Amino acid sequence: MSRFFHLHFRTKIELGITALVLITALLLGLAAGRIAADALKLEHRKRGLALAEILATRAVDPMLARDLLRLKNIVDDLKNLEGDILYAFIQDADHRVMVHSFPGGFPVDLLQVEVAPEELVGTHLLSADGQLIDDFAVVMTAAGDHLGTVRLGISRATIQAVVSRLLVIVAAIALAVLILAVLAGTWFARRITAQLALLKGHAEDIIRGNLDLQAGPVLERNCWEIMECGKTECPAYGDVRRRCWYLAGTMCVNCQNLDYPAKIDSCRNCRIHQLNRGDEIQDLAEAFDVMAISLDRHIREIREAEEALRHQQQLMQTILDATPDLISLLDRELIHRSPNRAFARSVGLSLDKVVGRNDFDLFAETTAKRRSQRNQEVLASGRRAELEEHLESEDGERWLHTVVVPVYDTDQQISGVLWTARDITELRKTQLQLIQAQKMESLGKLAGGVAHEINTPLGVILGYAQLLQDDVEAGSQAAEDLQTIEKQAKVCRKIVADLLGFSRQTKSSKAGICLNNTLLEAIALIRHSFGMDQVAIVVDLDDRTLQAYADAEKLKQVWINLLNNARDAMPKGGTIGVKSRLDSAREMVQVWFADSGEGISEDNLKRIFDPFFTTKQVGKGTGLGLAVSFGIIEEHGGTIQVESPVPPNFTCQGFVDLPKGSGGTLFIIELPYDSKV
Amino acid sequence: MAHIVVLDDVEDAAVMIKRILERKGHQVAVFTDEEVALAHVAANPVDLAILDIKLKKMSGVEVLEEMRRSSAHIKVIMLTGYPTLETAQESRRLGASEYCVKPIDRDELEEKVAAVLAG
Repeated sequence: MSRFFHLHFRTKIELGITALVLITALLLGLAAGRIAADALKLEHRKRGLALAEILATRAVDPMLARDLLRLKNIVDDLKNLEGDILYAFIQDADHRVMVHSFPGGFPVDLLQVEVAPEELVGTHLLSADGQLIDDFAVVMTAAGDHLGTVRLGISRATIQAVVSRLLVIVAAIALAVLILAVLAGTWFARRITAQLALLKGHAEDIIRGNLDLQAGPVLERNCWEIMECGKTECPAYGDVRRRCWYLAGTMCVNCQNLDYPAKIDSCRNCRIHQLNRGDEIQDLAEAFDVMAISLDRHIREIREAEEALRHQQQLMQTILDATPDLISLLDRELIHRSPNRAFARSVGLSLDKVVGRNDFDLFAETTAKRRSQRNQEVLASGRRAELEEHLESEDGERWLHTVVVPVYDTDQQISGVLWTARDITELRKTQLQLIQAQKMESLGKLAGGVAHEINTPLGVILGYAQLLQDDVEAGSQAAEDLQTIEKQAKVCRKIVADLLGFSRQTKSSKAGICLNNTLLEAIALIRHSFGMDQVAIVVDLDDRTLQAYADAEKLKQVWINLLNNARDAMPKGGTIGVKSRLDSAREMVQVWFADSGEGISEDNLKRIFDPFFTTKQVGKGTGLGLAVSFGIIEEHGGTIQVESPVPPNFTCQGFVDLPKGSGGTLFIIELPYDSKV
Repeated sequence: MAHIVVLDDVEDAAVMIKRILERKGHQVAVFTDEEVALAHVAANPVDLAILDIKLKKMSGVEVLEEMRRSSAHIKVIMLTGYPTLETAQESRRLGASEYCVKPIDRDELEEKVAAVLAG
């Protein structure tokens, strides 16, 4: 049975039609043959009885007259009348055979076939020599007396031949009908299955991704032609592939402003539907076309949506990757699912290596524990968390401003957290510098006020010390004492002048200058005296003109301060490297002063720009040089920083290569580059 | 010999200048009050006024401006213990001949006074 189901639909239809026609033909043939045979047999019996009765009637007179010859003639005549009459004989009342037609003697076996005396007529079917014989017996009577019996034997061979011929004809007709039916069935099956095959082919095309196909027939007249419609904005107008009754939003008067599928019921009564509709298979094909086009449109929409989504994702990823902030999306198990490049770079791994890991895989245990705990709190509470983290590593200390916010899914359930961090190390440094600047400003004001008040009495002391020297004898003790007063008063005057310089809030006389020129002029001033102290100065300046809007004299004061400090840091001599470069991207001019001295301790580095801070001997320095320099650079919108030892990545042509961590001090000054100068 | 006026809110400082300049043969009058000094200048011929910028009631620049009204040809040297560019520029604009920063060195003072009187 399963084989039957595996057959082609066309074969099934053909087999079904053949079987039906065959069974019908067989039944009809058999029935017709049987009826015909029965009719022939009935006629054959009637004929036999009629002949026997005729024989009996003719034989009455000779029987009464016992004229055997005449009886014999009558019997022979009858026997010779038809070829199928095999025998005839007459018996008297005592069943003795009076005459018979058997030329070779009467067969004794025939006497065994008794005819009941009460029956006037009777038939028996006999079989002799391989053929069937109907034996008809008619009783002869005269005036109610029983004279005897006439017996007539007729062969069935003739009638059987007729029946056989009839059956052959019926069978031939049935066969012809069967062939015609099979042919008609095959044509019908092929017609149906051809359309189904077309649909099947289109379905396979759809599976392969080809949606540009048409299964339904091309119409002779489309809806807008039938209705003589000019509504080009109607979705059905100009659409030769889809039937209007399958389309939503059609504008035909018959559509009653209904939308699909409510309109389909209304459309069935429409003239267009009645003119253009086909059978169920055509309906199926047309529905198939609509489905394919709709599917094509939906797929196109989905692809466009996917493309838009992909574009948005790329845009989002570009934005995420472009930002220097560290960003990562973590799921409920606190596994990193979507980090940005900055985050991956911060942990020294590629993006794909970060995905799937947790904080304990990526960070030191204390950091991971702290972050994990905070993330868990955000997951539990749904509240944003914000914190500044301080991290220390071999590369130095870092400050991160971290924000953790919960991420919700479409069911408004927390599906994870978004962790972001911004490196605020530079901001922290700037804040520290600002605090330093404010501190210095306060100190400067105080120092300025004190200096001003001291200046006048100091001037009086100095003046009288000088004046009185005229009144005493030269070389006397008093003259020497007055000289000492004058000398120390001048030291005080220098200190007060420095203090005033530090606190001065004057406007600088700024102009467009080349920074390299100020450096070269400052170096020219001190190079000779430095040489005397075994201190060499190497210069590595940017070839370009480092334009700045600045007070050249003040900058030279800064350079000389820094060079003096460097010289003082190398009492046994050494090298000072002076380097300048233009940072075009940041529009900043950078100047480096490096020395090969012993360097500055970490504690002293933090205080080096503080006013009055000095490591020099008493009387050698006021501790205001760097503070003044800091104020001048700040006034120019720049920054000044110090590093000690000199970082190993610092290069300056001609400067000694210091062993890593061996010492030296590096001052880095940045000033705004002014391209308009 | 010149007739010089010294105006300073600290009398000792003014007297000290007077002592220095008197030794050079000048006639020096010392004042600590602006109005008295201005009255003196208005009433007497004065060659040179040495004015401290920081005074009790007025600034040295204002005194300079006032003096110019009564004595257009008077020469002026400004003194300050707190020099600023603005003060220097303003003093110059109002006609100050020289500008000295406290504490004043004797030699510097003598040189500048001589230069201003000569000019």
